[in-house]
Amino acid sequence: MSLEEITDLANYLLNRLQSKDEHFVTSIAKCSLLSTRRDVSIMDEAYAEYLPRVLTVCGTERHVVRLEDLTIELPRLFKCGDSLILPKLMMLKENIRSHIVEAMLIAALLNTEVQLHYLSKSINGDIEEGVSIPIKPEWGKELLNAVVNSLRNKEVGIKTISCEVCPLRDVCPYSSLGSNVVLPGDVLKIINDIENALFTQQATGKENELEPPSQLTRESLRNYLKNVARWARLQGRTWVSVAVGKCPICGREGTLVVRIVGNEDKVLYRHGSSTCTIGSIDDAIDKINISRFLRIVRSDEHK
Amino acid sequence: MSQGPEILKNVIEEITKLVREGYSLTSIMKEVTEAINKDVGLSKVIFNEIKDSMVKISPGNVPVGLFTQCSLIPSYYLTGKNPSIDWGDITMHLLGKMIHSLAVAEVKSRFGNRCIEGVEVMYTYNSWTMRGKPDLDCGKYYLEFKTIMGRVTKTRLLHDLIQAGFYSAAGNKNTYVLYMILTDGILRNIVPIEVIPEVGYPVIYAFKLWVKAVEGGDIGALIAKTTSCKVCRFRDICIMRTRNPHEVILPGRELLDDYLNYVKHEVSKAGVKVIG
Repeated sequence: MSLEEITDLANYLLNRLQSKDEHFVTSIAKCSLLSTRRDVSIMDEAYAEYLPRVLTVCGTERHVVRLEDLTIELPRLFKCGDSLILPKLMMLKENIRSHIVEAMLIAALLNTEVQLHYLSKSINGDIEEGVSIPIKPEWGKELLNAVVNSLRNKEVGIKTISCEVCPLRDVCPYSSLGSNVVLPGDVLKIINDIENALFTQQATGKENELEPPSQLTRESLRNYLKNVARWARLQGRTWVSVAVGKCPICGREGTLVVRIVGNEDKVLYRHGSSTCTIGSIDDAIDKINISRFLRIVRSDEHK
Repeated sequence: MSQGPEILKNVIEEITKLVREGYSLTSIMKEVTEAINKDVGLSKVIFNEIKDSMVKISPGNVPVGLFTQCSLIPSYYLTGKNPSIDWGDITMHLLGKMIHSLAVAEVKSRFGNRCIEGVEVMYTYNSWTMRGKPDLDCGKYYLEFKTIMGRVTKTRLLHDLIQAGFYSAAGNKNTYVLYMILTDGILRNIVPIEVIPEVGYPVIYAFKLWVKAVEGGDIGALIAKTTSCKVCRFRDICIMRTRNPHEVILPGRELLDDYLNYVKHEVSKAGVKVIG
């Protein structure tokens, strides 16, 4: 066996992983002119293909749908309980539009509600637990018409990615569209509504992070302190008074403080002018004692 | 907080009632499980499944992928410490693994039974075994898939190189690493790299040193390290965390400099920016 033969294999693989035999919904959702390109949606496809290896509690479904004279392949879907799920790895600001369009097309093609499900989301730099977004079948009707027209007339009917990243940008007559989004008017409105709902929901979620836990367990306390530390970092704060309690080191009453030092968080008790440092949040969690929480004063409240 | 047993009692009474009414226990259990799953949330279920599937380590066994990241990682597992794993770790773990299964499926459809999945290569020293699983064993050689997203660090290339080198050395045949190159989430290229058995000798040497150290009671022997402490899952509890986090440690690593330059040259040709 020589490297030449492996290079042949690599070229064969590249070829197989770059194109599909049929129109693929995941690719159409990026740009309808890329309907048979597999490489533009390979991350999405790979996640749905990989997931059944670890997630054995849900069954998977494959669909190929004939729409008039067109054959359209759907991505692998999950059936968990009575919900049909389109799984996605991570929600980012730049991919969410393509995913909603994809879910709308699937819901319309199968005429059933679909849950667009994210394992994680990364909107503000941190990677956190994702969300599930229900997509109704009636939302995608107009999209389907746009797809059929586009595939027949070779015009752009749907485009949610930037032409800058498109593998065909050098040969495509529409590459001057650049980062413009092409979608039927009503669809764009629905997507904007979903996006707005998602991002305001997240904003309120951030507010709630600074509510002390109602039940004092090891986990809830740990999460709360971590949330405070994360919030402090975002705000550029280095010192946040969190609660009042008895210090495990010197036994005096003191104010529990989360202190940010570079990449680390430290928990300490302040007694007048002296302090006792307990350690990182993980180290301190089993030692600290809290009699009551303090309301965290935001810097904008000072103004 | 004392609600737990009360709820459980109610559930048991409810189930007993349903069984008396003629429901089968399996269907009840199925419903209960579904309800629990719904309550926990699909994300959490996936998170737990992946976390469970990530690493299993037992005394005497050392996974090569972990050892080449940092020799302290197997030591931590052996002393009963577990890493804190969050959404970021799970997501990044998946990003690294995902495309492999598509590629493996395509290779198998071309070669049929010639390539086998799940073959383990082992190297044993003093009753300690280093183990690794190349993606495919194709008889005369191993195939290993790796993904590069946009750009790559030189130490990541070194890590891939010595891991593949271990397969070659322990299995005594070449390993071909196929780098799947993605930019902006689009597959642009696949770059093959040939790794000969000799590349794995420094890892095996490091492993022997590590076994000697552990047997001599030094469980925290830092003999190999290619991954930055800043992304290590044990970063919160590691005793070495104040050291230079990007430091690369491997006995005889300068012997691999030329080989690493070859890898760097090949992936740069495919448009990947090599940093660090």
